[in-house]
Amino acid sequence: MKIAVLSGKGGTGKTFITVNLATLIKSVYVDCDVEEPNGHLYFKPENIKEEIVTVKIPVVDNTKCDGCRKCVDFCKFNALAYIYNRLIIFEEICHSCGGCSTICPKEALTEKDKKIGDVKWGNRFNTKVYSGFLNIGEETGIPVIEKLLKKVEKYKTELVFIDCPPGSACSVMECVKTADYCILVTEPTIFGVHNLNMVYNLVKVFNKNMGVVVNKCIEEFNPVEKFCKINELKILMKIAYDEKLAEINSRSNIAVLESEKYRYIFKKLFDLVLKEINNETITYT
Amino acid sequence: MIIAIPVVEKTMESSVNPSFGRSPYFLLYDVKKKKVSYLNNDTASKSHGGAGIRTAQILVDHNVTDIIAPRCGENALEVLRAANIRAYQSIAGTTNENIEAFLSDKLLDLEVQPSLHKD
Ligand code: SF4
Ligand code: SF4
Repeated sequence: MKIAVLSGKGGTGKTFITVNLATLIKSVYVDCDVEEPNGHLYFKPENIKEEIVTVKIPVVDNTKCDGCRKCVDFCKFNALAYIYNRLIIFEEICHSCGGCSTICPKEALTEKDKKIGDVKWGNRFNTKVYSGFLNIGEETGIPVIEKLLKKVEKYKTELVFIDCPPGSACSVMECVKTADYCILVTEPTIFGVHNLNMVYNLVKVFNKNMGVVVNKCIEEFNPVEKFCKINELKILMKIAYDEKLAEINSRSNIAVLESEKYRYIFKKLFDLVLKEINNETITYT
Repeated sequence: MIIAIPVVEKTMESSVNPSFGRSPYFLLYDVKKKKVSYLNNDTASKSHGGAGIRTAQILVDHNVTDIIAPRCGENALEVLRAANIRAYQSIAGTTNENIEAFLSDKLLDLEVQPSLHKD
């Protein structure tokens, strides 16, 4: 069972929620926020193993190339240019589709591996912690996310929590696609509603079941409630703003391990999520 | 010598387009023949990214020797450089005024700027 945790922008507490849920029970935590993975800072996993992530990039053999430009015209990402009898390859623009080396009539193009990041995994408490790291300047983190998701495919009976990248780009879709249930984390403000709307529409496209967690609530008008009512979205939990909690997070500690109150709150959230998932499975069968 | 300028409309009075790779048209000015022509840049400006590279390639293929633009991404500049095309910083005003400033040697070299477009 895979549960994806999403939010329309960074800083809403997406990682906080995911880390605490994953700590409560024996589970797998996957940090797909590969541009800024910080789940591992909370878990501080041990017995780390790692693998590099590579993509295929074309290399030209200028002695074979006759300048026909078929590759330049083919590349829809415009990663290739042919100037003064020389092919220029823009590696950061290339999306590794493999097309150019396939169509080159002179077999002047071959492929080489280029490292774009790493995946690392280890254990802490009862949780298996997987994190992806994308090198700075790389165009897309999708190959890193794909590798992470492939690595955790073997966990069939465990609960797998996926900490998604913020926003609603293609990389988020990769995560949502594999999920059985989605938790949307937001803040109780107009901006929060705007960002929630973005991820809500994305999850809807994939026809996944979802629920909302409103984080950092204060006793005031909460526009998220109206939005959820109109769209028949269930609010699973409202977590109140709490300085004590902010302090625990700032030390990169895990709230459910330090505070009885938060253990209770997250247990309740966890039970609600499970109930939602089970309800859905019952209505489907 | 052929100068290329990204333009908003196909007139000499047009303002210079703030975008290089996404500009729909380029004005080409042949200095020797004193001839103006316009280039459609649809294939590049509507592409999935790498628009600056594509645009630079098209300009190279039209034997352009100099460009005048307000800004230009790093990758596009690399293509221009490989083709020995010089890039100049445009000034406020019409295309015409920019060409005159160019001919009287008043334009500065264009500085490298990181590409704005990310996919
Ligand atoms: S398709 Fe092959 S031969 Fe043609 S320009 Fe590209 S690399 Fe050269
Ligand atoms: S592999 Fe695909 S994206 Fe990369 S340069 Fe070749 S055609 Fe373009």
